[in-house]
Parts: sequence; C-alpha cells; structure tokens
Amino acid sequence: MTAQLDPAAAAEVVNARHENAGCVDAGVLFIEAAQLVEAVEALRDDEATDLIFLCNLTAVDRERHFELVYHLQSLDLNHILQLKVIVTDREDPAVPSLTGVFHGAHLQEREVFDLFGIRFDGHPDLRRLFLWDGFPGYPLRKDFLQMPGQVRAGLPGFPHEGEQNAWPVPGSVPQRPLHPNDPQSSGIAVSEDEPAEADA
Amino acid sequence: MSGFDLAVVLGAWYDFRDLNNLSRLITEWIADWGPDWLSSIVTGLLGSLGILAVIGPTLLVLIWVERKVIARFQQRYGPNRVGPKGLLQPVADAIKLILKEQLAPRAADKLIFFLPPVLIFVPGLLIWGVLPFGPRMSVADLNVGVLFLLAVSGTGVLVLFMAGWSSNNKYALFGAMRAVAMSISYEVPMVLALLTLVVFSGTMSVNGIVEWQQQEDVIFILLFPLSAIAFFFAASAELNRTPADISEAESEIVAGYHTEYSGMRFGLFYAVELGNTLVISAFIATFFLGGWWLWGLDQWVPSWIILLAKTGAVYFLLIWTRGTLPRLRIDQLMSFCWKALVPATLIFVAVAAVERTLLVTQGWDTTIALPIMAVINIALTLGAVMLFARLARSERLRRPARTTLVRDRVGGLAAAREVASQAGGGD
Amino acid sequence: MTSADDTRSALSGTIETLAGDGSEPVVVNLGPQHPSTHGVFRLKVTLDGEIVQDAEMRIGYLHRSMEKLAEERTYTQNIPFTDRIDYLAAMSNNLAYCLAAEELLGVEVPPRGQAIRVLFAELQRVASHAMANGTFINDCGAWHTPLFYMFRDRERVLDMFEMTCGARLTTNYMRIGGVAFDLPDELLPTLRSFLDDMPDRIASYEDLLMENEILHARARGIGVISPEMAINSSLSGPILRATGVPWDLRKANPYCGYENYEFDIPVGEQGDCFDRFLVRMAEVKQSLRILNQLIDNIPDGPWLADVPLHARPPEGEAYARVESPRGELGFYLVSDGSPAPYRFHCRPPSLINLSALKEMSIGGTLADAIVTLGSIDIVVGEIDR
Repeated sequence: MTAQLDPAAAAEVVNARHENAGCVDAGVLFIEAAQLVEAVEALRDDEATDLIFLCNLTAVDRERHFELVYHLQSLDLNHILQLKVIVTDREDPAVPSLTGVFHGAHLQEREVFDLFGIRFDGHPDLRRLFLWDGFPGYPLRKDFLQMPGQVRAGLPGFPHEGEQNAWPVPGSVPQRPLHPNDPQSSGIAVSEDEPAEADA
Repeated sequence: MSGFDLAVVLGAWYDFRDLNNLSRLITEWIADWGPDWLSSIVTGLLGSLGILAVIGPTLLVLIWVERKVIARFQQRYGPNRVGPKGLLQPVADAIKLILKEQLAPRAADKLIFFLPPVLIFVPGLLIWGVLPFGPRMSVADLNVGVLFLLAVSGTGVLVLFMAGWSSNNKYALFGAMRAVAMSISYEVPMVLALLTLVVFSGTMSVNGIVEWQQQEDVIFILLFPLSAIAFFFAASAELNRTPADISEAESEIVAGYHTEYSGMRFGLFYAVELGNTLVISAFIATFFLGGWWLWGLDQWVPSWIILLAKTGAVYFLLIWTRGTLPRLRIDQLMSFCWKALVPATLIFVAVAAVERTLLVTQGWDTTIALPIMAVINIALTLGAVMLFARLARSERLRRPARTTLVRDRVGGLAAAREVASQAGGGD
Repeated sequence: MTSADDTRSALSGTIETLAGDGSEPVVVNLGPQHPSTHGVFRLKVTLDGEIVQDAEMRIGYLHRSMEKLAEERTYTQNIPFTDRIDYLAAMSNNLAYCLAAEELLGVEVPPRGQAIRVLFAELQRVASHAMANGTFINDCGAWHTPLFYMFRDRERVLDMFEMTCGARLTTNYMRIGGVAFDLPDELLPTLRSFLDDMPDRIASYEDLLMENEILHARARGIGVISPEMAINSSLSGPILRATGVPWDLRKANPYCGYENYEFDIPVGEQGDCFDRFLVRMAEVKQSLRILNQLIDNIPDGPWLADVPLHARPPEGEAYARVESPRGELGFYLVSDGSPAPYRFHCRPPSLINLSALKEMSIGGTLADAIVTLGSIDIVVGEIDR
C-alpha cells in the first residue's frame, strides 16, 4: 500500500535546503512559490524522501487565490506526497516551472497555463495546449464567465441583447462569411443597427 | 486459298485451345487480297482488342478476389452485399468512383497532375504484349521480349513520380521519392534474376524461355530457386505491395503518390496496380513455373487456362504476403536489395554461366545433368538464405526479446536493477 | 530576395539549414487527419530526408472541457463523462473516478461490488491491450490482419459488457459505492468459455508475431527510452514497465482487493517499442490469470453500497488512481461540501506518456516515429478531455 509521506518530515528536508521554504498546515505541505524548484529538487534528491516521480500537477481556483497541487511519488520507497503552492496574484499569477526537475512537467504545466492562465516561469515552451492562441479567458477559473470577451453560457442570445456578451465576440473568432452568398460582415456578425433586411 | 474459306474457319476457329487460329485465318485472308502492312496492323489491333477485352473483366473479378481473400485472412466476410456473393461490388465501386468529384489541389501543376492516371496505363498494357498465352499466342513474340518487359516496366515509375511531384503534397512527394528510389534499386536484382534464365536458356524471347522449359522438361524455379525468390520479392517491391509498399505506406504517408487523386483518377491508379500485379504474376508463372506448359497437360487443356491457373497461384501468394507481413522501412528495403539480393543474384548469374558452358562444351546428357544442377542450385540457395539470415541480424536483434515476470517486487530504479540482475543471473 | 530565400532565412532561425547543397528540412504534418494518429492528433515533424529532426505535437482537437462541465454536475452525473475520457477503457475510468469519490465520501464498497469491479477492470485491460497491440502492428505496416485478429477477442469482451450493462464502449457501469447492476446469469458461462479460448488465441498470436523478422526489424531498438528518463518524464503503464521498472499500481497501491489475487508484473529489458508490445501481450495473460482466480470466487451479497444520488461529501480533496491499461490514471477531486465537485481533475496517462515522444522519435526515420507513436498507445479522448 502506498503510504502518505509525513508532510512534517518532508518539510524538514525542504527547510534544510532553504530556510522557511515549506510549512505544514492541517496536514498539507505548503511551499513558498519562490523556492519551489529548490524544494522539489531537495525532495527528489534526498534519499529519505526520494520523490522521483511527478504523478500529477494541477491547480485549483480558490476564488481568492490559486492553489497548485503537486503529487510526488517515490517508486522504491512507495510513498506519495501532496504539496501545494499558493499563488495570490490573480491578475498575473506565476510560479517557477518544474521542467528543469521533472521532464514530465512539460505538458502538465502547459495544461494548467492553458486552462488557468498561471504562468510557469522558466518553462521552455509555454503555449496553450488545448485551446487556440487568442482564446479569451481561462476556462477553469471560477470567474471564467465574467472574463472580458467571454462567451455566455447557454444560447448565444439575440441581436441587441446585451451587446458585450453577444456572440461572437470581436477577435475571438475569425470573421468571414460562412457561405459565398453571405455578405462579408464588417467584423461583428450580430448586433448591427440595421438588421439583415437592409442587405436583402 | 481463295477468299474466305468457310470450311477452314469452321474447322479451326472454335478450337479454343489455340485462340490464334482465328487471327491467323483473318491475316491470311487479308494477305490474299490486301497489302502486307494491312494484315500486320489488323493482327496487332485484334491482339490488343483481345487483351483489353480480357483485362477489363479480369480486373473487376480480381478486385473481388483480392478483397475476398484478404477478408478471409482477416476473419471477415468481405464484400457480400452487391450481387451474388458480392461479385458486383467492384462494379458498384467503379460507378461510385466515376460519379465522385474529381478534385485537384489548387497549387497542383495541372497538366502534369492530370496526365499520370492516363499515362500509367501505357506500360501497364504494353507489358501484356509479350506475354505468351500459348505456343504461338502472344501479341508480339519479340526475340528480345525479356528486354522489352524490363524496359517497359521501368518506365512506370516516371509516371508515379509525375503524380507525386505535381500534386504539391508532401505525402505525395515522399511517396514519389520512395517509389523512384525503390524502383531503381529493385530493377537491378530483377534484371539479374532474369539474366540467369537468359544465360541458361540462351534466348531472350519470352516464348523461347517457355519452350526451353518444355523441351528440357524442367521448370526454372527448380533450377534457379534463388532467382525465383529474388524476382518474386523484387516484383512485389516494384508493385508496391507489402512488405515493400513503402511508396504508398498507409500508416506513414497516407497514400503516397496518389494521395491527392480522387474519384476515378484514384480508381485508374488502383486498377493499373491490380493489373500490374496480375501481369507480373503471369510473368513469374511464365519464367519460373513453365508458363503455358505443364508436363504434357497442355496437350489436353487449353494452354491459356494452364497459364491462368499458375498466375492465380502466384497471385494468391502475393495476396498472402500482403495479408501477413508488416512493412519494412525504406533503409531496410534498400539494404536488403543492395546487400542481399544483388550479390546473390549476381553469383547465380555466374553459376548459370558456368553450368551453361559445361552443358554446351561437355555435351552432357541434359536428363542427367539438369537434375544434378538443380540439386546443387537448391543447396546453394538454402546456403545463401541461411547465410543471409545469420549475417543480417544485427547483434541487437540477435538477443532474444523477452519479458521478465516480477512477482513480489514493486519499485523504481533500484527494483529495476535488482530485477535485471536476477533475470541476467537466471540465464 | 526571393521567396525561397525568405523561407530559408526564416527557417534558419529555428532549424539549421543543411550545409552546402542548399537543401532544406521539410515540415510534414502528420494529422490531424492521418491513418495512424488514432484520432485527431497532430504531430508536426521536421524531416531531413526521412530522418526526423524535430517532432512537435499539437493537440486539443477533441477538447470537450470535461473538467469544467463536471463542476456543474453531481458526483453521480459525472460518471458518464469518465466513459468518454478514455473511450477504449471506460471501465477503468469509471473505476478511478468512483474510487476518488468514495474516498471523499468515505464509502465502503461491499465485497461483491469489489470483485465485479476487478472483473470488469481486467476484462477492459484485455480489450484495450488487444486494441493497442493490433493498431501497433498496423502502424508497423501489417495490412490490418493482426488488428482484426485482436478485434475478434475484443469483440467478445465488449459482448460481455453489453450483456451486463447494455453498452459496449461507454459503459457507465460503476457507481459510487459499487457497480450499477448485478452480474447477469449468462455472464459467467460466457466468461468461462472466453477464458478457455484465450490461451490458444494468445499462443497463435505469439506464433504469428513474436518471431516475425520484419516486426523485429521494425520495432526493436526503436523509440528507446531509459528507465531514468521514463521516470523523470512521468511515463507510466506498459511504457514504464518496458524499460524494466516493475511499477504497477495494482501491486504498489492495491485497490478493490487486488492484493488477494496472484499475478506478476511483466517488465521488459530494452524499453523499445517491441518491449512495450511484449509487455502488453504478457499483461493480457496476467489479466486472464486474475480472471481465472476471480471467476469462481465472486462473493455473494450486495454489489452497491447505500449512497444517496445527491451525495454531499464533506469539504476536502482526494486523489485516487488506478492502473489503467495505459498507465497511472488518477482523479483529483476537490469538494466544497456541495453536491457537485469543486474541482474535477483527471491525470490522463495518454497525455503524460507523450512527454517523451519528441526524445524518442528524434534521430529515427519517419516510419520509426509512427511506430513509436503507435507503441505509446494514445487515446485522443483522454489526451484532450
């Protein structure tokens, strides 16, 4: 059975590398964002912890802050450790990238960047993974629907109805006629002052 | 003979053992009143029409046969909906292909893009010309038939390259490049394999080779098995069939040189490919299995039926390899050609030359000498194949691949080292 | 400056142009629509002739925002989503999600439920590995024949799924606290005949494939990865085991009573494509072994614990993982006390196993890259979610 590594023991390893880099709160090891790489490297290289396998890397939007969750596993000692990093800056959240420590962090960090907008400093190729460049907003944030230029949930709605939420939003979708016979729109497909009869 | 002799016609034209009777009759009749050139033109046209009339329906049936046989290899039923036993499936496919839109990429070189599906028919049909269906039954019994065959089949690759180059598609370009590289390489063992026969039988006429086999009562696959194997493999490479179908490798470059061809243009490529497979099977049967001759059976059964049966057997073998084997990589194919097939066939050319010289100069009785030579050559072939099997496997491949079953150990690198040392010690 | 010069100078920033002869590398897009990318997956390879210089993957064509959608549905309503994450191993995904939800709720699964879960998880492994090996040989260039052979066995497994829960691919069979239905009467006889037939079948596949010289030439020494690199790249499942690391969550962290069954972890030696194939073949045998032990020892009793449909787990988080056919499949759930998960995250083995694809394919030929991709056994639904 995979044991849970005692967070306090892990915190000691981390703090031995760097003062006050980690602390334990309610049974969870929290790491200072600035010392993340050093801390994880210490946990990986220390023989007592031996956390050489990055199981899982994800984030949780706690509305006031972001929580980055890392699951690290030791294969030989068969224990797992969950550690968290708190990011409070919602405007431009950033944490150091773990790609230098774990090659497997590449794709998972790109995924978090794509869906949460958390920047990973030091990632060699930080681009969106699933969504296209220019997609407005970051879907897994809890305030996704309030983000500027965001798609409304449900039906796209009618012209003139709340123009800022109308679909498609300028810039979000390349504007082009859907059919050769369609008139070329000037940018916004809906919420024109003159409805379609004017063209007909 | 005056005019159209009805009695002679009735006496001979229905003799389906020799389909030549009718055309000879017509030629003679024309020669009576017309100029010489007219009769040769009429004979040529008759032969071509005959071949066209045979190939078209045969292809339709062959598509069905190939799909059905492959399906049986793969535990499926194959086409069984259109017509009895699905026999009309190829017709339905053809209708569908004809009705489909013909697309051309915008950036394609239009003229060169449109030509290949048409041009590819030329070598595909010309090859049939020298195939002897019976003792006197070939459209053109050239005395350099072997040379003609090789020359014509070599031009086909130009058309493939045109198709791949003009499509403006990277897959197509890769397919065309691979086709050219492979075709040029595999021409060599093909030529050398045929050279063995030419040297030994002393004739370059295709019919002459068959007649030599008939005369000596032996088929060439027994005398020169390695040439037969080399020719078979080289032909399957030229035909783009697995295990050498790299120029249209589906899992790598989608469809190779004909990626961009849609509708009936693709259908034409497909039909010619099948037709080539058929004609090459027929030539393998002719060169190595005795063609229309089968130890006297050809006196009783029409010779072209014998040829058809042998062709079918070779064709089945081609389908079989296609349904069984994975594909080789291009560098492996090339090294197999240049490092294995070419030296081996070269050696056998020398062997054939030596044996032929001995036969001629010593005046040995062929009924005794040929079986001895066959035994020697079969032994040589087996030796060559075994030598190749030993040399070709690199050190890496010679180590057996295996899995170790780990029962009570779970872990990472330390456990991996432990398992590896135990497995290594267990040997 | 001509346009060709433009291209060349643009390329020289990223890729060194080849010296002297004025040739340039070719960028080829394998996919999104390509016969051997197993779905809408795009691999952008830079080729020097046939040699791969760079490989970059572009994914997201099948992104269905499952993690977001799951935040608005109850825990039970989310089970069908997990089917569609990895549609070739729906049972394993159901299981992993239910384990995570049970950990949040603190639910005990009755013994019969656990046995049935193991049964279907192992059947799913047989089906998924059959598919993986079949398509792998297909990528090596065999003309569909092994694929259809393997499909024959997969078909029988899917028939058993249909018999039990009415669906073949998207099973939606596991529930929080057990499984949805009891086993139908006809399942066990069917399973028994399946188990009787399979050893012969596997032996015939081994006859066909194990000694196939062309397959050896194509797959051995291709896509090699060292155990250190594999662990560092978070690879899991058959790929990790093919490098020789005996890591199987069924042994390391037994769930659903896997500790009661006897089975071995097959590990490879070289970490190449052929070893992955061998490991999968051997794992099918081990799965059959587990099923043989299980079939006569399914305990009686309830198969589903009493869990309300609108269960409200206490605040907290859970990370549960299973050994899915493709590797470590984890579900990370965060609860805020409401009936819907606050955060629903899936650790997709297919995506993370692709971490080292670039390293595996660079330096090989285009054909090798395809074989490597085939040996990783991706499911695009799981990559993109």
